[in-house]
Amino acid sequence: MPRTGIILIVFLMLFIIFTQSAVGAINFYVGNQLIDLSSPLTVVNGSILVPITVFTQYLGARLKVDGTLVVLEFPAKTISMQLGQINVHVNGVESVFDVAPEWSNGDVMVPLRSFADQLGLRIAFDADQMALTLVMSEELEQLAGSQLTTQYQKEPGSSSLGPNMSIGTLPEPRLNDIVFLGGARSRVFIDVHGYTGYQSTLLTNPDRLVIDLTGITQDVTPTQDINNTIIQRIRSNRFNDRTMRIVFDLNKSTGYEIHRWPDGGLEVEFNYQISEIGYVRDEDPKLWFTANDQPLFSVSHLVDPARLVLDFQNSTLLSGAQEFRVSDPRVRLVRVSQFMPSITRVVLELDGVMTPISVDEVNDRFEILLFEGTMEEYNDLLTINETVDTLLPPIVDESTEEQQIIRYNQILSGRVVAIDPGHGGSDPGAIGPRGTFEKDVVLAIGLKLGKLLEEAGARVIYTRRTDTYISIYDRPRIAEYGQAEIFVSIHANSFSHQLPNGTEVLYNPLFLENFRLAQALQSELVSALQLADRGLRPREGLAVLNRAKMPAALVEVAFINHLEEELLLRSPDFQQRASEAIYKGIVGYFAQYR
Amino acid sequence: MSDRQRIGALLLVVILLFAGRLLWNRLFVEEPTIATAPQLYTVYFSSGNKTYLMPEYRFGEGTISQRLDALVSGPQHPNLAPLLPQGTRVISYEESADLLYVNFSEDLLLHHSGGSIGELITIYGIVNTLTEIESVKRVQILVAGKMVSTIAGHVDISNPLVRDWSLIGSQKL
Ligand SMILES: [Zn+2]
Repeated sequence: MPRTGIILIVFLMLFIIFTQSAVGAINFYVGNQLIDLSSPLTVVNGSILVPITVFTQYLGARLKVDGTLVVLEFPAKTISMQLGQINVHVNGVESVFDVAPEWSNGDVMVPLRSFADQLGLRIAFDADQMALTLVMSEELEQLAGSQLTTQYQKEPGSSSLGPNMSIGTLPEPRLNDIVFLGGARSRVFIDVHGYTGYQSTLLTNPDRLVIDLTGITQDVTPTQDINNTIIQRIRSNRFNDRTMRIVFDLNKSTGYEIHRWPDGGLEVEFNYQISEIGYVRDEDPKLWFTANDQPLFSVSHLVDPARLVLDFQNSTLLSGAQEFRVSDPRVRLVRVSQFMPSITRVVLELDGVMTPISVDEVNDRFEILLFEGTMEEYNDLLTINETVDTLLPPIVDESTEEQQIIRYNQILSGRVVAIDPGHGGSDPGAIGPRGTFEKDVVLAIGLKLGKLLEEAGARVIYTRRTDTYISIYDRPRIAEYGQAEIFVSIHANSFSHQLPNGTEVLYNPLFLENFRLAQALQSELVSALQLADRGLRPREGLAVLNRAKMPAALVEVAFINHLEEELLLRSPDFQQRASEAIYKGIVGYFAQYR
Repeated sequence: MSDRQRIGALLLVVILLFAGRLLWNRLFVEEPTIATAPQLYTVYFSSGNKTYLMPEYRFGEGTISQRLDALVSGPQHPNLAPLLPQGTRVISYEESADLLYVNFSEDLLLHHSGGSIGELITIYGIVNTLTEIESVKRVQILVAGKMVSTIAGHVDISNPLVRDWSLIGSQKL
């Protein structure tokens, strides 16, 4: 009799399973110091865990461990925790953490957010740089200052490489060519074969951008004369025997972005160039600007005094900061400035409220139509106009459905949704046992979904509408360029065995909005399709979700390699039901959270 | 107390001590070094009809090349399934500090059966098997000598990957 008990205990002790997932490729900073973590960051139930050494080595805490009791003493605060328990004591007073501290691979991992709250620190995340920063208070900075400088040492020679990369003994990288791609942002592709670390800097007198490529030992490339609005010429020289320097001589200093391509190349993109900004009022109020192309902009409303703020992304203001008055009593002042190296900010000081509605290109300039009122008021106005049309032929006994459509129109009107049907072209995706291609069924669902959204007044950005190949990196960029507010990727699942079946939605757990969107989609899909509920799946490694700059989720509608679900996926009726479920999920998300 | 009971009690104490010791090691002592042969090492395979990874234990030192051979030749247990598409070979591998580059033949990309879960199982079966090795913290998967963005259109493998526990099944334990 007791033997089963003993065996159970032994088993329990032998198999302590930690369910966790590591957060890939995030740079962690304390203050402005990049930290070499003793263990990678992990995420448990949406909370980021960091090794406790962050606090002992960089924030002046003292650590005492007694069995499973872990005590961390800060100058003004003592936090004592039990491994595996969310109840903690702070200066003897009970408190609760988001998730329990845990032991993992030789480190005590503690929840970052809870510690930051206790210490009065702020956490900042920069998605572009994939940089997570614990923003220090001045007091702590002084306390930890001496340690910060001595504790942190980069590995020799690693300075120009990303945190996840090392040149090691791989073959030498080669610079094949520098290709000027052009376009409004003067894109340039530096065709490097193999991995190379790089550093980039803007220099002045004369204005130029230099990119130093580490490990390129070959001869310099010939100078290319460009002479467009941004670049005069591109040349290269040897910076030292390991490093080649590529120089872009610029007309005027401007912001830029560098994207690394997986096979080693670097793509340089310069800011949009905004030359002039003004305000007119004929029938409607309009803000206009001239630029080499239309940058994306974000909108915020401020009060006391009432202001409308437009931040033009990836843009350089050529004219320099200025402010001016206009002949409209509702606009007191317009202020224009280079708010950040890559953001041009326009502020309208108002009497009342104005909301940007649309952008049009008229006579070589872009006009942003402004509506006098809030977005909600504008949407109400729209739906009143629309419902008059839709209600004209009254439909008997279908009033509830009709009302629902009106409500959906109100929610979706003016929204921008990116639909990403997976795979395409040379990539068929998974192939079912009867030869059904994933790329075909997900495109069918995507197009049906797009139709529903457009009918309800939303603008739809398709990453593809036909059977074409689009790279996984381009998909989120297409959504971004189209100013999409959410990104929904549609796939059909597959596995090496034919038994698994059902619906799941994957999302990147770093941001709460992704979870909310995924949850809204999954609940509608499960109730509409009635397939096995495989649940919400937090995932960091999926390319389209990682790179999407808006709330994003990836829907796996059903298993295409499952004998029955393959047939379902092929049927137009099932495709319609799936698209309606995704549609309702999107409506639900906007209604609840946006 | 009968002899039987006494032996039973003794056994209980011994087993508890042993288990306690194991737990202690697991929690507070760095990798206990076992000097005596034979050793066991872990290779992960697809759990067959369930969408997670299951460990299979092999006798041997567990060198990188042994583990890669095991991944290529597939599981011994009838309920487990191979991770790699048919015909996939390992062309070469190279260690650089804590990063292991593994260069697979193009079959990994051309013959993969797809699906995000299928792709995740393949990739993290490889990564989890190799990060069992103390010195390997990160794995960079290459295909025919090149970095590729993805093998089946979902998971980004252009950067080195670290261990992922969430795909390892615990149901059977
Ligand atoms: Zn897919």
